[in-house]
Amino acid sequence: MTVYAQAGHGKSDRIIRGLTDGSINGVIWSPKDEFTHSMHVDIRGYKTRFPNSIMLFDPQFYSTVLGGTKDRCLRHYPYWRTLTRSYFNNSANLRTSVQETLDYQLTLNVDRLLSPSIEIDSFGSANCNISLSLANESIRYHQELSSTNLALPPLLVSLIISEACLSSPSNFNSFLDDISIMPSVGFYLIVHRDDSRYQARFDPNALENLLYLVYVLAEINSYEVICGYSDFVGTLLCAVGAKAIGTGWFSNLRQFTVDRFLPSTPKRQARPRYSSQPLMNSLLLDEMDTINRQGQLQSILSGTIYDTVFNTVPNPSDAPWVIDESTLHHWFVLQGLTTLAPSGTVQDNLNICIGMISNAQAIYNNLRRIMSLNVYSGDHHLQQWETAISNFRNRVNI
Amino acid sequence: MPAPQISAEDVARILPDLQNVQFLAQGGQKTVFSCEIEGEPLVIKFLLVEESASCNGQSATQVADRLSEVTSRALREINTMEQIDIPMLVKLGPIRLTPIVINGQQLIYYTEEKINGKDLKTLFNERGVLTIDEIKCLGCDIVTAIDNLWQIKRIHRDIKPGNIMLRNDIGRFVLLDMGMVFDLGDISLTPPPIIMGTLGYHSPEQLTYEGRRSLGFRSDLFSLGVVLYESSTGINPFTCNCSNNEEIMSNTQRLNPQRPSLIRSEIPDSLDEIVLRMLSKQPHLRYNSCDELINRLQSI
Repeated sequence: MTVYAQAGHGKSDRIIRGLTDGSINGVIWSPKDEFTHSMHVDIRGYKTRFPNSIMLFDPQFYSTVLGGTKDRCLRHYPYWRTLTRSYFNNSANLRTSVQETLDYQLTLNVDRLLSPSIEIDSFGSANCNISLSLANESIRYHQELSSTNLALPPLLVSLIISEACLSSPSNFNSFLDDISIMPSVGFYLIVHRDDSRYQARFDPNALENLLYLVYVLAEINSYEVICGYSDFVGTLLCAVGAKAIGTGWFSNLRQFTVDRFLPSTPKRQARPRYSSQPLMNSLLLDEMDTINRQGQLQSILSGTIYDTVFNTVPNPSDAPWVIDESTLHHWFVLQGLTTLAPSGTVQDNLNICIGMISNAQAIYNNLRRIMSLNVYSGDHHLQQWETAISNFRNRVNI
Repeated sequence: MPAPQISAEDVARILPDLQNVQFLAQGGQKTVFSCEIEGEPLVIKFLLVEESASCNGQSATQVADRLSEVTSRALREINTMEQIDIPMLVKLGPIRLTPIVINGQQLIYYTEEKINGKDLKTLFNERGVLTIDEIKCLGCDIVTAIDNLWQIKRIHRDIKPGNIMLRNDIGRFVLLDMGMVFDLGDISLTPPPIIMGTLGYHSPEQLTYEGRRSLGFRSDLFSLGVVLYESSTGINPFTCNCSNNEEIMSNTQRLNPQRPSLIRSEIPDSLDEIVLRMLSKQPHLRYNSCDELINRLQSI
């Protein structure tokens, strides 16, 4: 399966290391965090050095309508400006936005073009209609370009959907009917999470609908589906057909919230966490110390090359678990989790996921006897995922 | 509007250029005859556009709307046939839409190619089911017809055994009767409460007001799915054992048919899967590409 680095601020050399060691297969670039000049240089450089890697550019057009954004480098991009929703009432404006956004990407050495989009707050809403109009206009413009540019990268339609909208999706079927007939090669999906705190938990109803959305697009209608800002839950999205997931180094690059684009007060540096493949979640290093003292560390280790640092110290929290190694380790963990049955059916893949969830629950049961875990380190997500999978299977009869 | 009351003799008398005029059928709003023009076999179709008896109880506006609908629908049918030239869709003949008065009835008429063959309804009555190869050919041919219609943004809306014929000459299937074609690029000719099509062959979305406003070619794929199911098993999954129309409509919207192979064991799994997917209640769960569906059918 495929993991793309969801790029953000402070990339250091971790993308190069990730592409070199194979923990990632591509990059989804962030204009908010990169000036236009270095964006050109970086993408060209990475593509030259790693010709088989996939380079995508998320135009982050959705941030144009947020108002009062912490836009950082975005204002230097020719297609980006602060807009209001009424701007899109004029079809000429809509066309201009599409052309500027796609034209800019054509100056980069990207493998796919990503259409501009704004957040869908509910299916059938004005925002949803604008989003669909942007998608349809992007398809039209892409078709127009393809008549003169034979090397034109394929188009992915961007969709950014709020978690609340997925939780109680009225008009969802009608929305799916509309998008499942779009003549694009695929979709770039982002879910705007309700809670900005990093976590593996996911409302079961929203997750069931997200699984259904990915399944309908990827498995039933043969689109290429790339799920940005996905983390551990990306395992399930790959099981139902997603081609790739994006995840970054900071927690705000592993799940999407608009907080990333809004002014914020300085925050305390996050405590280091360890991504555990067996638990399908991450733990605080302090929690690993307790587990280690009880002789159960091996049960939660992921088995990546980066685990060796824990062999040389009495307590895991003593290990030099810096952000670069932690990130590369995290990408390896997700590569492992999303590599399901080779050429497996969705049914096979979900059976494997259920097996992994059961295994994680058994380990959590052992841990529960010796300690209590932080709410974000606990097993609450497993029950939610299991419920979502079960409901999804009933819905599509697999 | 009822079908015109005219005989073969009336037609031969009024249109002397036609030879061998013979009554074929009367149904819906049309009376149909076979004929020849300079040795070319054709069918000629007559529609009533004005008859005082049919207007009883209707206001002048209602009558005017109805007349306009008949003519507009015929024009759309002819326009559709003019735009597509493939053997899987019936072709327009040499006489285009022409007004005429016969026996005091104001009519319009036009000609179509005469298909030398049998319709599927007759074949089902004679043989019960089709062979697997025939089902594949039927599927590929009618999907090609649906695809060609969709390329000009039209939906047939009345795909059923009576509207599909097997050509004797080339052994291919052809889709007839564009009289109910829906044109996405034109105004709706059908008042909201009226459901076009044939009970038991409607797609679920044809049966709801919201669905009818956003019909696409996948609606026709559903109707073809019913025909393929019937061709495979001899049974229409939504009308069998039904005692009334409400039950049929409910079945169309809610009943998931059993696998055709459970009724006829020689049906391969791949055909089971294709037919059941075409019969998905939600359009997004059917095929979104006619090419893909044809490839699947050919690979059975």
